[in-house]
Amino acid sequence: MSGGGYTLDRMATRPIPLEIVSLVLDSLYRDLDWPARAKQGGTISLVCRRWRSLGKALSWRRVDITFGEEERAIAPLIARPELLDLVQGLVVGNARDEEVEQRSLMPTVSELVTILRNAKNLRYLSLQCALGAANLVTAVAESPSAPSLRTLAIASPVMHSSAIRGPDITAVPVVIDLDTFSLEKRLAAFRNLKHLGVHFSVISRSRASTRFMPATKPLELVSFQVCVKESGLDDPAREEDFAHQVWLRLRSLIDARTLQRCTFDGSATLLQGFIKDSVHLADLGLYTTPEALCPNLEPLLKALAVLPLRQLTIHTPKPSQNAPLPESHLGALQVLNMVPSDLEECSISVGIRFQDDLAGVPELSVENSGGKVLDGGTTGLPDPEHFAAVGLEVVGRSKEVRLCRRNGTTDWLLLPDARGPDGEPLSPPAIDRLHLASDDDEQIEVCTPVPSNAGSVASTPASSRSASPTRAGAGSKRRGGAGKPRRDKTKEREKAEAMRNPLDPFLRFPNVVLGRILGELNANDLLAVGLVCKRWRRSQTLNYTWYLLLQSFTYVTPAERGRSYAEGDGVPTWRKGDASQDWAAHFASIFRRDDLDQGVEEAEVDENGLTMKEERELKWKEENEANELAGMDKVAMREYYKSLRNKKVKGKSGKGAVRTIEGDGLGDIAGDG
Amino acid sequence: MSARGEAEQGSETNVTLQTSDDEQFKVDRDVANRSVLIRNMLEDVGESEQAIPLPNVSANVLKKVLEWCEHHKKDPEPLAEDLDDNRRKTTEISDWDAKFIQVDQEMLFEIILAANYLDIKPLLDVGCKTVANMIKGKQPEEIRKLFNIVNDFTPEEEAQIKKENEWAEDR
Repeated sequence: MSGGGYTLDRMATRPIPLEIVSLVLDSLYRDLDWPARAKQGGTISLVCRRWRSLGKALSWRRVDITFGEEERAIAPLIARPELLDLVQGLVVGNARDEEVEQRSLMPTVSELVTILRNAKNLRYLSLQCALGAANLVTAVAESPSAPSLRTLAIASPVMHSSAIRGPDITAVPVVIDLDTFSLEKRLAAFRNLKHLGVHFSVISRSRASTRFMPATKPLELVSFQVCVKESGLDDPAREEDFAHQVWLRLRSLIDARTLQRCTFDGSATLLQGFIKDSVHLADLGLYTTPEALCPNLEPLLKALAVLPLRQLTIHTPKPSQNAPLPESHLGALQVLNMVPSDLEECSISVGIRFQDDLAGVPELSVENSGGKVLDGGTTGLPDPEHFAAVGLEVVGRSKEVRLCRRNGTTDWLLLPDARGPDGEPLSPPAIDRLHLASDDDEQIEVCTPVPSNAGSVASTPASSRSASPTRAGAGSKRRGGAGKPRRDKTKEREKAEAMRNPLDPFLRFPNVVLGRILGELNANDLLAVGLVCKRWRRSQTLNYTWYLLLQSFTYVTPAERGRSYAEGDGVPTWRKGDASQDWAAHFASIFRRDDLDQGVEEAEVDENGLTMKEERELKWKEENEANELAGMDKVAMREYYKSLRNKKVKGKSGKGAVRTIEGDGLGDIAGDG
Repeated sequence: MSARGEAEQGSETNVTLQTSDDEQFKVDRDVANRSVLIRNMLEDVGESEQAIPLPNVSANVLKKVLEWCEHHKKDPEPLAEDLDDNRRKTTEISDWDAKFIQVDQEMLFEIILAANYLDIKPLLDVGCKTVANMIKGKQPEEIRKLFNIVNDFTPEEEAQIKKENEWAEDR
């Protein structure tokens, strides 16, 4: 029924193209939660050989680990380090509903530290755990993943959709001791971080004298979410001073110019200078107190008026349930009236978040890296009864909220089911739409009319033209990095060669063109390409193609792969750290291992044929030799060898002596039996 | 909400698409714009009488895909996602889409491949979700049957993989 013999042929020999399986598993990945995702991956990996790697990747692409629950994902990750290469995302959380003895979790923390230290391909790390967070951040900062990490959330969800806005008020802040934890140094290790969320509770004994070195190369973040509070000082003035200092340290880390989204929980005073630099800021959420907001409101609004702001959220809590709306709140209400006229396109939403189950958050005793026991308590959590947006009263979970004008003023006020003197619901003409969402998240969105002359500016969503500055910067960096002195000779020689051989595509084409060509090739072809000559083999374009190929098998869709070459999607995916790795070997180690596990004969007749065999023989040469000498089972020997290599053990052992093990894999191994 | 405003301007012009089997389709620019590939192509090329060649799509598939585009031509643009771990719940398949996608397996695959090639994300989602729903909750043997796949594992290998998978099984 389908048109074209090409299609029918393919259908006959390949019932379902691997390409589709890959796309489908991507859909499953988004749809399924842990651990259902892991289980589904297991099933997929049992279908047939070609599906196996895909199933494995589905299981391991993103791992969720929950403290206090029976945890089974950690053991395989430690026992089979090759699985770790598949892990791109890691979420660590606390079990919320049980009383858990913190001390009993310490072994889990140390296992996690091991895992994080060895992870190579982490891109997303979310630490929703008070326990050991400082240790875990340190571990990943020192791991090979540090340069590739793009999202880091510490006790604070980094938002990926506009569906969730505002801080997670049920999160327990992570206690950081500035005396023992060098915050800037650790975070600066994540050179390519794009999204950062931190919810800190900071302490320091020597806070007055705590010095820090501003980062030389600030992080070019796209989104930044920060909440720093509760230093445990009694004196409000010192508290403020301390918060200021912590903010300065964080601030020194970040290049405000790249920022597009920012959520800030703290004093508005701190934000002032920051906003001035955030020339690309499109979405700002400010969670603050009326006292902090009002004196600063005017300069704040002036600063905001020049930004390309599309979303603005300002929350302040209400002092107490029955108290009348204080004068200070009225100042905040001006935001609603003033900002829209100054901005070309702006939707202001005043939202309120509260959760009924807040009372269920247990009090936690937190042990931080300094070994001190602190009472984290629930003091940092806003009381839902007292948590209300400016001028907005929500009684219970009622959706009967009406927008009305406050008598005698020009301020808008949102009240439950308020009506005018004539009994009609009041609705100011300037408001287009009043949207009330349900569920946990009651949100009222107020859209101001777009001025008619703003059409051209407003026609393209800001998000679609995001991040181009970073790409341009990275591009020039890549070229600059290659311009080391050593390269002059190589360059001359290659130029000479190019003169001699105008047919060599590696010499003739620019990297982008060559990349597109290589991008069309499958693994077998790429292996062949790598065997042509030394120069081809060490080509970074080839290496990058392997990298992309590996990515595509771990669910980057082929379309995305193509785009990486074609024009890039705004964010570089290839960095120095990546370039120094041998991605062909990565590819081989992940995909070949499956076949090797099945025994020798099976692997020889595999579709990948001779070249793969050669690759493998090169790679596992040592094992073969050791194997023969020790007379061991091949698989067992390899596992054994790997464990030796990881620990860098030298000297004798029960299973055969290892004299030297070199990092390049060429060290000789001999049995002494 | 205002982002779609500009697309109206182009709605009067027609675009000609040429399939792999040399059939030509004349469609509204609005409809063709559902495909990011075509939209980008049109932006690059500008106004042109020439047919746009789509060598990876045959006529009967394109007809089906265009049917979807026609029905969804007024949909708002899907939000650009964060490139990072863009895990988000896929939305439920609408009734119309569910009916639309009730085709035989071959056509389903062709639609998915075409949506991928033409870069029509929402349609790709619908297709993939449909296949994903076929896979969900099934045993490996059922999945093999479903997609006509030969089990090429030896019993030993199968046992080995099952052992490796144990950690993820129901607790």
